[in-house]
Amino acid sequence: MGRTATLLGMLAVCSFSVSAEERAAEAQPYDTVRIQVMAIAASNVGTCDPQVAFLRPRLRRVLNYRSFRLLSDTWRDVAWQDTAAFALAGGTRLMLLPKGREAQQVVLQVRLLDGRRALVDTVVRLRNQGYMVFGVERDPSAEEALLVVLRAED
Amino acid sequence: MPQPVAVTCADVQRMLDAFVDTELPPPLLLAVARHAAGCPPCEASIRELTDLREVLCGAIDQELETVDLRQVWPAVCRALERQRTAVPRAWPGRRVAVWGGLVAMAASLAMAVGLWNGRRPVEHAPVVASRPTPVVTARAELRNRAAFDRLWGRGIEVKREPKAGTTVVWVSHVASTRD
Repeated sequence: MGRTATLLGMLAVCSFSVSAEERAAEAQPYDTVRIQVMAIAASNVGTCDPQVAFLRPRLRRVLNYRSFRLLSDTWRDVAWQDTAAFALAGGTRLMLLPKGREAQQVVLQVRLLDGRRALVDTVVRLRNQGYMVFGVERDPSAEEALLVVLRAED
Repeated sequence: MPQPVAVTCADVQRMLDAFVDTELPPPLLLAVARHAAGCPPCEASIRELTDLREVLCGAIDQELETVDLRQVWPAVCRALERQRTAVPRAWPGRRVAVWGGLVAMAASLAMAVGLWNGRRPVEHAPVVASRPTPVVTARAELRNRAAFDRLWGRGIEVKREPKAGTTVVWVSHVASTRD
């Protein structure tokens, strides 16, 4: 019985220490926002990449492309008020700065750059876990475009 | 060099579903594709099934967009909270097995860990004080809605997809190459 009591005591101590650690972890500020940036090549040639097939119906409703190919998919935890840069295909870069949260929206300052030249500069309110798309028409004759899907998860 | 696999129209009809779902082994996929390229009836069958599949996928996708699961986790948390704060039953007596106590403690420990993990702190990001935000309703159409406080770009165009409100900022080739 003495051994059982010791065992129970040890278990109780363990459970209390784990609870304390969990409380300490909760007390830490959750000071980052998870950003996902997908680079997608859009065209009218070839089949759709299964990895981005879930986007296809929505993209097809607004864009005149039927084939989408995933070029890169990057996830990053970015601190609020901190700048993050994402290198994309063809020298395109996406720079963003999470400014803050308002209701269920994440406010992001976003710059899309072609080399050093800014293509888009915006402050956008994106719904938490929602996404938006930047499209850059590379060459109309080639009927190709680069799509940049931006998603924020607070 | 392996010889290409030869397939007939009957083979293609038999493997149609697997071909469209790309479940065939690569040599057979290639063989069916080669056959269809020179056989209009088989090509039409494949095209028909592919279109049907797209329509079905589109319909399922639209249905999924209307499902609102945001109340699920709060309900789970409330249920767990109720369970946690429920009055425990009276101790039945000394004859309860010691291992029963151990199991109960382990279960409560697991529940406590689960509860703490499930409660993600959300109040630490800076809050942007500016114009009032429109009330976001529970409509699934607004899932990807984006609003711009500022938007700059040469010749850009903003497009919105009607179902989920997905916003596309479109930079045309002419605009992007202009100095």
